[in-house]
Amino acid sequence: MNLWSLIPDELKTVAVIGMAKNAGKTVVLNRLITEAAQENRLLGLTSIGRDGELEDLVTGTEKPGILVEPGTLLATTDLCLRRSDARVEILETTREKTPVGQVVLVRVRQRGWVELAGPDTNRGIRRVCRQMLRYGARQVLVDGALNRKTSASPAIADGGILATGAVLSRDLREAVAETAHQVQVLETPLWQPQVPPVHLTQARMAGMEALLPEESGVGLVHADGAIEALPFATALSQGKEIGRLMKPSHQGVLIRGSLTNRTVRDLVDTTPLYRDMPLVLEDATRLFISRQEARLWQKQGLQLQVLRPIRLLFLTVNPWSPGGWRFQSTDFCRQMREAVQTVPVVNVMGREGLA
Amino acid sequence: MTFFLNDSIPEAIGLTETLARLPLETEYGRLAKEALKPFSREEALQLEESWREIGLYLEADMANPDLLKSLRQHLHGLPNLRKSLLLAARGDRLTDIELFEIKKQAFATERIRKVLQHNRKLLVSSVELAPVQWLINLLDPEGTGIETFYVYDCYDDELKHIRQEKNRLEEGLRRQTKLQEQQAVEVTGIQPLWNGEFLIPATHIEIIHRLESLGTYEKTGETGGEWIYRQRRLPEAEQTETLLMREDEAENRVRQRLSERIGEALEPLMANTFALAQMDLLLGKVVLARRYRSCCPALTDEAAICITGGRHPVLEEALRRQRRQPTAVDIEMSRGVTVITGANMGGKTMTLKMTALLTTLAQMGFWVPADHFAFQPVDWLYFSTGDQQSQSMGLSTFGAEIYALKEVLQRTHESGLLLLDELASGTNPLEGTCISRAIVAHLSQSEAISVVTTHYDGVGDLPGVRHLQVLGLNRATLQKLKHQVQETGWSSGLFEAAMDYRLQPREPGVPVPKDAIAVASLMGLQPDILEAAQRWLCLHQEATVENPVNGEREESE
Repeated sequence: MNLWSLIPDELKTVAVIGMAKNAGKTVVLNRLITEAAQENRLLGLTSIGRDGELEDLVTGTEKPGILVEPGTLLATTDLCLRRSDARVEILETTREKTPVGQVVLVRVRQRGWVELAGPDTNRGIRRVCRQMLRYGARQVLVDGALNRKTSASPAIADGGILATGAVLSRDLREAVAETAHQVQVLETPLWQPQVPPVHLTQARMAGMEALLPEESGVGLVHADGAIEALPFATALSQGKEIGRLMKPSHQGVLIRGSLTNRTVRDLVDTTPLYRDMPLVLEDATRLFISRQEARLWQKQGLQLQVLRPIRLLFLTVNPWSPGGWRFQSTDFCRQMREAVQTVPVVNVMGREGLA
Repeated sequence: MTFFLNDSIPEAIGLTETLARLPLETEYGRLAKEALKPFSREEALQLEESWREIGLYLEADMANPDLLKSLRQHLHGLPNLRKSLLLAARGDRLTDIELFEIKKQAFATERIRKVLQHNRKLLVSSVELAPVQWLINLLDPEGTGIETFYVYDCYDDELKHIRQEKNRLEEGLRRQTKLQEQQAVEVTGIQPLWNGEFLIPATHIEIIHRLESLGTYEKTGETGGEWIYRQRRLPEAEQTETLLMREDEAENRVRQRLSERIGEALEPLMANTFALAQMDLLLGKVVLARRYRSCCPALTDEAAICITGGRHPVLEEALRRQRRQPTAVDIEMSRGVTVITGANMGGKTMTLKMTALLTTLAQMGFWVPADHFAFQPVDWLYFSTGDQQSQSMGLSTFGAEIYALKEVLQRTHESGLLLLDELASGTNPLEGTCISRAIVAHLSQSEAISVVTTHYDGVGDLPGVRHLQVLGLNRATLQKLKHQVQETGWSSGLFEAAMDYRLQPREPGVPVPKDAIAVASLMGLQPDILEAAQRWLCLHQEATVENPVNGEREESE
């Protein structure tokens, strides 16, 4: 099967994110690129924030990661281009600086291997994606950095693909459970209040800044849709305070920035009102809650919702771990499908496509 | 020789802030701004030329507002290529990105040249650009007019040949791979994975055997109960490596050749970057001249500064934001000392800053925010706020002022501009007065133009000193203000609205206005304190009549 059949054409930028190193993200990318070439689908490619991989890139001697066909558009750095053997036409320089050089927009003229290192800010990524689409890309793939689900943020991509694999744990059930938790986090539901605040429509595009003043990191939504901005820059270590200020008449708590275990624990310990109104985040990449705690609080009735949902397209599994163990792939896929029922599960290393 | 006698002056007089408002489109322009320094008196011709250029551009802008806008657009975002040009001249090989930037800049340069050719009035000497059509031809060998860069096939026959060979080879490899894959599908009856690998159940020995007997596939691993087979590397694949290397070499030869051609033209290309810088700066100056309704400065034969309707742009903008009307100031000064006295909050400090700023701007080749401005360029400029402290040197306000002044007074035999705000106000009034008089007396004999503001009596009455006074608040306005405050209470801006900021020459003998208590009263200082202050003032005035220490005797009548 062709993976592109799982990606609607109207999604212009799609991020591929990995749950861990060696979860098979590069395999997924290469497969998407190969299959796009087979049907003459012109792609734009870039990646976000390399941090962890930086060392490999500068000192590594291995062949760079991705094979690209003529016509493909790339946003990568001058240093990466020097290491690649594809021949490219320089279209644009971006002044976007990264630790591995300046990001440039190029069109591949002679096929070959390239390394991707795009802008490391959301804004930079958005800009290069827009440009590559303008230069004729039908869709843009963003290679999300390791362990950085921010690249799936709706602020960057229209859709996301999650790569997971045996590398997560030697215990198959553990790997499945951890993945299922991550999917659940990414699919945190949309906030749809009874009486919406005035600027909710704008906030679906621009995020929390449309609802909260710059200096405030937390807001209470009153029954009439009015928003009361609280004098905290973030919700971090303010769980108790927020809990004290919540009233039964409120219809939600807006949280700009990250929500962590500690904040939720403090809040839940302070007031039972968390059962009656959702905690609303900008998007699911702001949620940093461990699996055990999430399960506990879900049972207790904690509601987490987002302004901007992430559109998760499918999940890829890699039954191989570089640690030496591997799972029986049909078994791994079957259990994964049982645990994750909202999106298709694809074995990147295997023949079988969909269930 | 440094123009500003103290590093903090550009900040203090609002020059830094004014220059920050200078709109620039290029790195070149920003560098040129950083390098801006006042012209000297000997460079009067260049100075007049830069004012004239602004005038020409303003005129052209009046006639066709899109013209300068288009120039700015062509300049917008041009990066600094000077380093690349120098590298090329040194014989280094430029990278594709450098060649791309040079090509883009060549296109922009030609566009700007075209605009200037069509509007010859704009073609002033500082922005003259050498033609670079040859450079465009060099970097756009196919003449497409597209501003991207690639080491094009047509640069080098061998390169073209290598690439053709490489593509032919790759095409052949692809075909052969496909063929072998089809054979494998036929003998196994199994479809390959997306990456061309075959997964074959380990139990299907006969299929494995059939595939292996083809000789084109080898086992590379196992997964669960399946064996993974991948196509063997075709012998011809080795050749691509060699071709890639040869392609590399050929491309580098092309880059080297292009770099050499560029390096040979270092002089005109480098000169062009400076002309672009001047153009950017000039366009920025024009914008400022328009925004601040500026006038073209004029030169005087004698050391003098004559300002009519002078405005401080930073203050002006701040006032406008508060919806208040800024006041323009007229002031004339020449060699020797001008003393300004007058009401608190009467704009004396601002007059000094405005004088310093306008003089500096004019001398840097800007038009200045005034109705009329004439001056003779100065060799140096000093401005002291009278409340500076030097914490690093452990000096108090008074200490820091005197320390700096000692240095400055060594240069008063040259033509300079010396602006002292609240001279010697950081010490006791008796000695402060005496020191002020001595300094003013000294300055009145010097070559420099000095302006001193003071609240001390008698400083402005020394022989040879011009004495100006802020009109300030007269009794009638004071009364009116009092009523207003009583009715509606104090509000900011009330005071400023009543203040008459104009300066007028003052007759000798009239005492420095004593309205600090009146102002404090308006601002609502506690009445008992005000009454006590008034009593002390009367006592002091009586005492000085009986026991005159200084020139206050005749003034206190």
